[in-house]
Amino acid sequence: MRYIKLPSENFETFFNSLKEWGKVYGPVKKGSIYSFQEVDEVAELALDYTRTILPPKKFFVRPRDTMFRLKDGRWENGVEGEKFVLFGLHSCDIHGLKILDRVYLNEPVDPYYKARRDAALIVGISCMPDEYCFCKSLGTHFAMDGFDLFLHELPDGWLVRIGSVRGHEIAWENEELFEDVTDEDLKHFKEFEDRRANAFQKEIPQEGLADMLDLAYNSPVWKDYAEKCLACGNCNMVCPTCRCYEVCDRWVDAYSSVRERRYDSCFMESHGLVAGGHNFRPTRLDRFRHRYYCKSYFDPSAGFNCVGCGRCDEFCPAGIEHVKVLEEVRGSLR
Amino acid sequence: MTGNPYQSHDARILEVKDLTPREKLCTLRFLDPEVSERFTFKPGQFVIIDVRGFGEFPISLCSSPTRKGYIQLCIRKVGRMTKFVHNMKEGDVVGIRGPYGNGFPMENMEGSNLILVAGGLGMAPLRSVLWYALDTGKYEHVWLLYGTKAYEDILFRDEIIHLLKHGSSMNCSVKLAYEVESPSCIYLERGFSDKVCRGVVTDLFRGEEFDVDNTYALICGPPVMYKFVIKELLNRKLSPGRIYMTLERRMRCGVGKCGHCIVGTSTSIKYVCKDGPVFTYWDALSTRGLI
Amino acid sequence: MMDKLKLGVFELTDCGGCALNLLFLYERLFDLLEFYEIEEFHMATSLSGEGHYDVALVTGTVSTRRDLDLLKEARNRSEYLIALGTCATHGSVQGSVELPIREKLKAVYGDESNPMHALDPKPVVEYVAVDFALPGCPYDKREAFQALIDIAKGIEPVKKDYPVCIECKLNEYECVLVKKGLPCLGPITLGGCNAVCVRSGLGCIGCRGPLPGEVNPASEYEILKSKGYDDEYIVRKFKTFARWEP
Repeated sequence: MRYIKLPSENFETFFNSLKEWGKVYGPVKKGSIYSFQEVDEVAELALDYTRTILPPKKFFVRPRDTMFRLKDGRWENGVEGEKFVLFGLHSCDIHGLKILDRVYLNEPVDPYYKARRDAALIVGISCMPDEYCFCKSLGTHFAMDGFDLFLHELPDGWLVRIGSVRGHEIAWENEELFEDVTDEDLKHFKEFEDRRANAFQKEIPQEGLADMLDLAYNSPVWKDYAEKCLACGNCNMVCPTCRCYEVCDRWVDAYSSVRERRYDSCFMESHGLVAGGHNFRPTRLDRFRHRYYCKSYFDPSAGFNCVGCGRCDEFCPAGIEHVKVLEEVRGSLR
Repeated sequence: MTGNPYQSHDARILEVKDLTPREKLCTLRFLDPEVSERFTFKPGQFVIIDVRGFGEFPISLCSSPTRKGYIQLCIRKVGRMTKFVHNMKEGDVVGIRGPYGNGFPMENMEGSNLILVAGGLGMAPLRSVLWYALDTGKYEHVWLLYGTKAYEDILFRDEIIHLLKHGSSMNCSVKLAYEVESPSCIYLERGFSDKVCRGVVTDLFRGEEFDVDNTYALICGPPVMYKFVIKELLNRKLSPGRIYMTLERRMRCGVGKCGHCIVGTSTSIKYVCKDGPVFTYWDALSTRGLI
Repeated sequence: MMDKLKLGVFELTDCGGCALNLLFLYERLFDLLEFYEIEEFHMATSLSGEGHYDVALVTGTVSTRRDLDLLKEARNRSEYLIALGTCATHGSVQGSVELPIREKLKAVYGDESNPMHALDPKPVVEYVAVDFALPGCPYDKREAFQALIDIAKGIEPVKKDYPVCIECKLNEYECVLVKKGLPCLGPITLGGCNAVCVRSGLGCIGCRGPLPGEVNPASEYEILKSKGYDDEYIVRKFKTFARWEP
C-alpha cells in the first residue's frame, strides 16, 4: 500500500480536481438522513455522515434500472458507462460492493453493473461507529482493496491510502497537493483507529455462527420475530448486499416499451411463488428466516453476506435488530 | 454474442401442438443459423422465453439435444405469460435466451440403468432425458415411471403409447399410473396390464428389480411427489448421490443474479437456476428447503 | 387495422376524481386511443342503449339503487371489468362508516325516509366479479395506462404485490415513520402510488387499502402505539379507506 498525506488546506482543491474524472457523488444530508447525491462544492458534503439510506449499490444496480428499450420488436441495450466519482464511501460499503461484485461480475458478467463499476472512481473515507454499526465483528471495518483512494482523518488533514493504479494516477496528477506521511501522522492515524475500535457498541461474534444458526432452524425465536416483522421489505431495500431484483416490461407509449429491473425484497409473498400457485416460502416466518440465513451465509472464500452497516436496524419500522435476532437465535440453542 | 446475457435471440414458432387441454408443445428454431448452430444443451437445462414488451418466463427444454435444428418446449397455461404464449401461432417470433442450469450429468451415467420418475408436468424435462438415452443407446436399461391425473393429462401420449408397445426393443420400460378412471384408461390398462395401473407413481415400482450399484434415478414432478418417490428409492438402498431431481423455483434472470431462486441456510446457499435445477438427494439433505 | 376496443367509463357514487384522472393522462390518452374508442364516459345515456363494451372501467361505490343498476348493466355488457379507485375496490371513506343506512339517514337528516334509495355504500367488488382491481384515491394513472395497454395487447395486467415502503425506498425518501414518528401506514398498505405522500413529508394514509396476503396490522398497531398514538386514532386511521378484512 502506498500512503500520502493530504493537508486540510488542500482538501477543497483536491475535491474539485476530481470533477475532471466525472460527476462527483458524495454523502449529503437530507432532513434527518443522508444520501449519496451529486455534489458541486465541498460545503455540500456531510463528511461526518453515519450511513446513507440507500447504499452505493444504487449507482451500479439502480433502484429502477432500464435494461432494454424496445425498438422495432427488438431490444436495444441500455448499457452505458459514463465516468463518475463516488466520494466518501465507508469501509463497510466498499465491502458491500465487493460482495455484489462476486455476484454481478461472476460469469455471465452483468454488463450494466460492469460498465458502471469500471467507470466509477471510488474514494473511501474513515468513520466513527454509531449505535447501529457492527462491522468490526464481521471484519469489514477496514478495507484493504476495492477503492482507488481512501482518506483517513488526521487532526490537520488526511492520510491517504492508494488502492489502485488509477488512484495513484489521480494523486500523481495533483502531486503538488500531497505531502509525505510523517511519523506524527502515523501516530495520529493509529490513535484514530484505536479510538474507533473502542467505539463499537454492537458486535456479533462470528465463530460458529453459520453452523449454529442452521442448527437453530426450528428455534421459537424466529417465530417471535416473524410476528413482530411487518414484512415491509425496508431492510432489503437499504441493504448493501441484498441484490434481488424483479423485472418488469413497461409501456412508455402505444408501441414502445422498456424492460426495467427494480430492487425486490424476499419479504414479498410473491418472492418464492411460482406459476401455478405453489409458494416455496409461504409464511412470513419462512421469509423472515430466509433473509437472515441469506445474510448469514458463510462463504468460506469470502465471508458473510452482511457487512454490519446497520442500515436494516436504523430503518426497520418495527425496531428489529439484526445482531439481537442472531444472538437470540443462537442463544436459544444453549 | 452480443455480450449481454439478458438479450434474447429471435426464434420462430414452427409448430404448436395441443398435448392436453392446458399444455401445448411449441417447436422453435432460431432465426439466425449461427445462433441455432451454437445453441447446444443438456437434458434438464432450461431456457427463458422473452416476449418482448410483455415479460419473460423460464421453461425446461423437453426435446432431446440429439434431435438437432429445433427445440421443443412444453408450456402449461398457468400464468399471465403462459396464457399469452398459448395464443401465439405458428410463424410467430419470440425471444429465447439460454440454455441455463446444470442439466443432468448424462455422461457420468453412461452404461448405467436410468429410472425416470415423472409426475404431471415433470414429464417435460424427463422427455429430454428419455430420448437422449434412447437415441444415444449408451444406457443399460431405461425405465419411465409416469404418474398422471387422467388420460387427458398424459403428456406426449403418442410417444408414451408407442413405448408401451415397442419399448422393450429399445431396452426401455414405460409404466403409467393414473388417478382418475376413464374408459380410455381402462382400455390402456387392459392392453398393458403389467404396465398401466390406477394409482400413484410409487405404485409403479412394484415388481421392478434393478441393480442399485448401477442405477440412477431421475425425478421430476410436483413438490409433494419427491418425498414419496425418494422414500421408495431409499428403501431399495439407492444411494442419495444416485438420486437426481430437477426442481422448480421462481426465476427472473436464469444466471444467478436476481436472487429469487436462492435456497438454503447459513451453511448452504444455492441458486436453483445456476447450481441446479438438477440436484442430488444428497444436496437436498445438506441444503434446507431444497425439497 | 384491427377493430378498436370499446371502452366504457362508469361512475357510481364518488367524488369524480377517478374519472377525471383518466383525462389527466394527457398525451398518453392518445396512445390509448390507438387501441380503444371511448363509447361511454358519462353514465346517463348508456343505460337504455344496446352497447357492448370490451373494457369497462367502474369508479365509485355502490351507494344507491341507481348505482347498483348501473353496475349490473356495466358488468353484463362488458367483457372485462376494472374496478378503478379505492371506492370501487375497497369502499373508501363512505364505505368505512359502519352504521346501517337508516341510522345514517336519521343522524344526518333527522328522518329515516330514503327517497334516493340509498344503500349502505359498498365497493364494486362486493356486488360483481371484477377482472382487475386497481385501488388508489385516486389510483395511479400510469398504472391504469399500463393495465389498459396490456389488455389491449391481449395480456393480463400485472398486479402490484408490495407495500408502499418498497417504492418509498426506491425513491430514497426519508422514512417519516422511523425518523419523524409520523403515523405512516406504508408498511401495511398496497404500493403502486410511488409513495407520493411520503415524498411530501406526510405519512401514508392507506388509500390503496391493505396489502393482500399475510399482512401484519397488529405489529403496525403496536408501532404506532409506541409512538404515542392512542387506540381510537389508530383504529380510525386503519379504517379510513377500507374495512380491515384483508
